[in-house]
Amino acid sequence: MNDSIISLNKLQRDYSIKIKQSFWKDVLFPRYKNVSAIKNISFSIDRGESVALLGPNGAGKTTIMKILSGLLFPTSGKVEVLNFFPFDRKNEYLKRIGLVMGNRSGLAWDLTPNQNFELAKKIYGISDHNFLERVARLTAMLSVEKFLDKQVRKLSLGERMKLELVASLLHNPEILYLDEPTIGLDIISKQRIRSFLRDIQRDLKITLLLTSHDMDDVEKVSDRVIVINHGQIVFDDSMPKLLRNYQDKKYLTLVLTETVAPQVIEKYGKIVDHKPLTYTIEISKAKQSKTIADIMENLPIDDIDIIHVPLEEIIADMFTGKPS
Amino acid sequence: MLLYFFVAQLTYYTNWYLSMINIHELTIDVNKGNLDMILTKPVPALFYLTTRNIGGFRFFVDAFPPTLAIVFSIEWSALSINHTNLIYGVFIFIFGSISLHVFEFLAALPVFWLGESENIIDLAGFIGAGAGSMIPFEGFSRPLQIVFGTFIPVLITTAFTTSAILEKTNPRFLFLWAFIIALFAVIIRKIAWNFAIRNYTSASS
Repeated sequence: MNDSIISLNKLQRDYSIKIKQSFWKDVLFPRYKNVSAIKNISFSIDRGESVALLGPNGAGKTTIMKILSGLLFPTSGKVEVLNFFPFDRKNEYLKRIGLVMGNRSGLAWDLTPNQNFELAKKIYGISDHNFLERVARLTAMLSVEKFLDKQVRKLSLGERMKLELVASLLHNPEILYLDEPTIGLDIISKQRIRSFLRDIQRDLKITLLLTSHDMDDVEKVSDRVIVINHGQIVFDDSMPKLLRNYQDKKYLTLVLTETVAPQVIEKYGKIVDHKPLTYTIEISKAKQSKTIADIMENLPIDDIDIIHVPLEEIIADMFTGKPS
Repeated sequence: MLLYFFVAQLTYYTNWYLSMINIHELTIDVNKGNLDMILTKPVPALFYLTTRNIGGFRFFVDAFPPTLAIVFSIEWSALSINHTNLIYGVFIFIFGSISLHVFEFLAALPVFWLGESENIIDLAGFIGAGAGSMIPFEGFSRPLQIVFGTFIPVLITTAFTTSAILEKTNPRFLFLWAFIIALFAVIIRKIAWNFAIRNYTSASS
């Protein structure tokens, strides 16, 4: 049974941009033009889903996130989250959502994480028992117990982001909005946060809505992908379906023992990357065995690696309108 | 006149440490997108944003020496101040501070559209706590009393208060005037905030 908790219907958000004119025209007759950040966007998200919003810069994904979290007022259309109109920012609604922004800190910098958590406890009215249990469990999951009494301003970005996540989950929200939660983090921190998000989604049945430019985030955390370009949805389906469309393509990374001209390599497939003694070529999956056999026979091969088309490439193809 | 200076000093420091600091911080938060993290918490955002930074210690450190000098300069025995008028004066001062705060708060709201309002806030602060505290209430003509006591409510905190304490004008009349203006100011503040927040574009990406 579907249990839709986020619903957008023909949602639109326009921004008024001032048109640059001469000084006096600007003062006396200012002119503005409307730019649509999102145009007639419609989708719904069920309880417990983990959904990624993808798109290039300026596509409108953060605008959607901000409308859903009650920060922006939509120009037209309908939006309903947990049966609330988000912009009303009713306390009953805000207590049921969490927001983590990779480029903003929700923690007060002069306080320690423990003091921030105490503040959240008061704001959200969390009981002593639940508070202690959640702090212990969430900090253990992210291995950040030892930073709890260190001033937030003295934490590294990775430590702070993990503690931001803990703070956003203390009140046990039903929906967690994540706007680029791993931006600027090292690979270890990213991996830890991804597996943490998967665990809490599974264990706590939290609905996750994620925006990220890091496709590994999307692959590891999300079941469903909504791709937005120029304010409109260009793809909305499961991750396997997105990947299936590209299953007939493979990438071969060829490590050579001696230099070979690109023209020779191009006979086996389109070159997508080239470093000294290393080429990555795109081949058809159907001809994979034959192509590899030919390459082994005709080229001075040291090593061959077969890889799937990276999600970045798939999304980039969508943005540029290339066929799959 | 020294009593007038004394109240003017209180107006200046109260206004700076209770109102202006928070209003300046509000504009910074709007510009930098920090407002996002406040608006998404179940807290009364407007109240929090306009009262979060009350510089109690700095207020005493900065305000105490100059104010104390004026207090000792006043010849209190020469003033005829009764308790009732003093109480009226205290309330008028509070109402005036509220009205002045709202005046400066309204000056800050263009930041939601233009991304900038520092200069207009400073101008409002100068008119309110500076120019508004230079001439006693009775020195203004009736039309100017109405303009600067109602539409640009900069006379209430200092001029109304002093006039009420010294009973130069009927204290009950000034009290009622100040109360009504403060009440309207609070309502206008809420309406203006709702309007501004609807036009918030959020600076963070």
